[in-house]
Amino acid sequence: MKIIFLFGLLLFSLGCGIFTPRDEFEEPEGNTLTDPFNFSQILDLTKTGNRFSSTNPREIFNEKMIYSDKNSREEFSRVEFLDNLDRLKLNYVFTVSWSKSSDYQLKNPGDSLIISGVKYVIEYREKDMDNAETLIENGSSTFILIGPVWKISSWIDTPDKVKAQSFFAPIGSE
Amino acid sequence: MALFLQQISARSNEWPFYFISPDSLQTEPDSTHLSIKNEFSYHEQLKESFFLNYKKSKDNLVFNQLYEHSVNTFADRSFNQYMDLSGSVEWKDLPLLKSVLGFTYEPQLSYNQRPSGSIFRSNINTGPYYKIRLFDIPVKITAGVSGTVNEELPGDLGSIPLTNYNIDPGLYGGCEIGDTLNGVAGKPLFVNIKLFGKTITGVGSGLVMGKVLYQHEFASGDSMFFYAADSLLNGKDMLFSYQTTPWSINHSLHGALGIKAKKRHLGVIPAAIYSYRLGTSEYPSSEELIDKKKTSHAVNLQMSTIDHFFFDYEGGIELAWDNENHDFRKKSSNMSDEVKNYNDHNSDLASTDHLFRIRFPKNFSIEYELHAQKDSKKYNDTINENENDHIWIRNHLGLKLDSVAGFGAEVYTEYAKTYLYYFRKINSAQSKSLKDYLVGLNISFTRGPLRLEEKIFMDAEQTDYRFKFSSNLPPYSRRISSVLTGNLTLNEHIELSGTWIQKYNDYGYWYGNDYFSEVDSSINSYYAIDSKTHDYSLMFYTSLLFEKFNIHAGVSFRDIIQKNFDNKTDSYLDDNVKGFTVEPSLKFNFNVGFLEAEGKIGRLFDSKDDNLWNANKNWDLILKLNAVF
Repeated sequence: MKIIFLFGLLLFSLGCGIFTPRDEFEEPEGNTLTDPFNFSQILDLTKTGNRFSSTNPREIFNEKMIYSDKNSREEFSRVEFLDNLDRLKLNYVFTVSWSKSSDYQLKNPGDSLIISGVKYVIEYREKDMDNAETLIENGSSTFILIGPVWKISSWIDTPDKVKAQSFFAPIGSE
Repeated sequence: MALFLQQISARSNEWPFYFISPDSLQTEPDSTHLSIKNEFSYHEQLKESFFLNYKKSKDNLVFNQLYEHSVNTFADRSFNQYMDLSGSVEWKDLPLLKSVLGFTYEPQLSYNQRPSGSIFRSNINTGPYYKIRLFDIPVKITAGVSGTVNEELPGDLGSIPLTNYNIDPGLYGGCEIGDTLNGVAGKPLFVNIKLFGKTITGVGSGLVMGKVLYQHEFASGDSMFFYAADSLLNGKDMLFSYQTTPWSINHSLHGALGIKAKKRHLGVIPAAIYSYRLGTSEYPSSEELIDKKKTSHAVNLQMSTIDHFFFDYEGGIELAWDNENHDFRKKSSNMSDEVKNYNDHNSDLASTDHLFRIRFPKNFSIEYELHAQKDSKKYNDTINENENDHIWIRNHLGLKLDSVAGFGAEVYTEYAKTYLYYFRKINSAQSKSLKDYLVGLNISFTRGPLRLEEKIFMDAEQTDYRFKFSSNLPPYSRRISSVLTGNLTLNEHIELSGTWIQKYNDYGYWYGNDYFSEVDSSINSYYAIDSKTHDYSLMFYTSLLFEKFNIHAGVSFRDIIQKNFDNKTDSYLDDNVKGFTVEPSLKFNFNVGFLEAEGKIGRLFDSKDDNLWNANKNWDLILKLNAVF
């Protein structure tokens, strides 16, 4: 009986204090909103007035988000996808622009948004390399967003190239 | 990486799946059988997946044939198609230790078509294999030849002649020792080791993997569990993409030790688990790719008491310490140490889950749940903007009355708090906490052929930023939902049902006076609603219920009205994007022993859709078949 009591006490005492955040903030440099991949433009295209609460990629994609590249047989989770976005920010200087393709469609069944035919153009070059060539990639995407605080829960990416994986896809996924 | 994701999503009060003995009844039947499975759906896109497995046994000859086919079509007139026609022929009970000699063929094809062209890929492995039991341990040896095609085409399949397709030859070989389903020598010791290697036109890949599970019960009734799994994959992708995927070396190691005590006073079962994981990915020939090494130590304590006393308790806490290290091959001589270590970090992870239930007489019970998770990332460098704490805590309290005189009720409340704090100055302005409040009520009433059920809940989510700027106000949202369902049983075969769903939600921003303290401290806090949505649905169904089949036919009507605030007119205007929808549908399922099927035929009529009356659009078709002979 003593062992059970001690075990239970250990179980509960371990929980105390663990689930409180740190308080070690650096003062912000004003109100900086980073959106390196220009994701906010995806909702701007809908002209519904909806917008993301934050443009930080870590808050745009919900916890169960799935990314799939149609040229790959794999699907990627939010963690794997965000790790790859970090890799892209580290290795490349790039700009991403989003626009409506001829197949653009918006469906809004209640608390979700299905946006298909969103065209993207990426211009990128390798960082810190003299005379690095600027490359351009194009593609089209379908997004499913869940509200009311809009987050992307599904992204199906179709690069224009038939064979190679998308710029956004994690490496080795072809 | 998949192993790490499983660690995060599993509940801390659940016994790990890797300690559970495999179910030896899952082995394939020895006799002749045919199983067919098909899933077809069409809603904007067509998806078809067909699977056939045929096994024929006669005397000591066994023939296996698999046929798998899947098609996915997409809106831009492109599609992906895949086919697998693997099979084998075996001669069993050979004179030497009743061994087995077999021949296998594994042709796989993939075809992806896009508006700009297509790509055809195929791979076939074919060759003999030999199976034997040495000292009651199963051993399998296999080897053979392979051929691979990887053609990028300007148009469809016929756009270049077949004779122009290039086939790359290759060789493969491997062996497998042990069995994942049956213990060694009848003991609770499960061991399995696999080795496999393949080469195609000088490009190779090798795989070594092993797994062991051991369970031991002490004389006291307590149990100990040991699990270890290790895999090493060195080379390129050996299915279709060996030409373009980089050479990689992936190593994954997982070891765990668990102790589960026997049931003691009050039916309590305590348990403890230690787990270690190591994962490395290296790209020796790709300078731009980042090598990664991740290690994790985890300790888990659990306690439960179920069905022994008037209360139930299940609880657990897991603490884990992860370290992730990145290595840049490229530009390493020109890169500062700070940039090289940019993504190196430690993660302090924790999760705790508790369920406490008290059962009273007259089918009345009280239930309390607590779930909490923490992911605290600490980067080695001082410039990484992703240094953050993500903490989520959810409380649930419910009172339940279960079926007393046909009446049942449940009232519950939930409170959840989420912290998402960024500590570096580039992102610290986005640090926030979210509070979610929910109250709900479920009521059911059954009297004779009539059953009514109502589920209603109200929910509010409030955000608060750690650093307050009037130019970055926190979001706020509210929601009310009601679902009323009625069922009337006319006789043993006919049932009528109706459902009315009514939802309201609004979304906007909280104009807290603490966000304007630098501008005007006299402002009263208020909630400015940006958009309001009313969403209601009505559904009516007639069901025909028989022993072997059921049919449900009906219609649903839905209207969504969203109004957004317009600054120019200072009023809420209809967005005019959504209309109302009507969907007649027929659902069915039947089971005649060897064949199960279920399906749906529906057509959506959307008042705002340009393709409203287009006979080829807006269908919702599903068909699932499962047959075993």
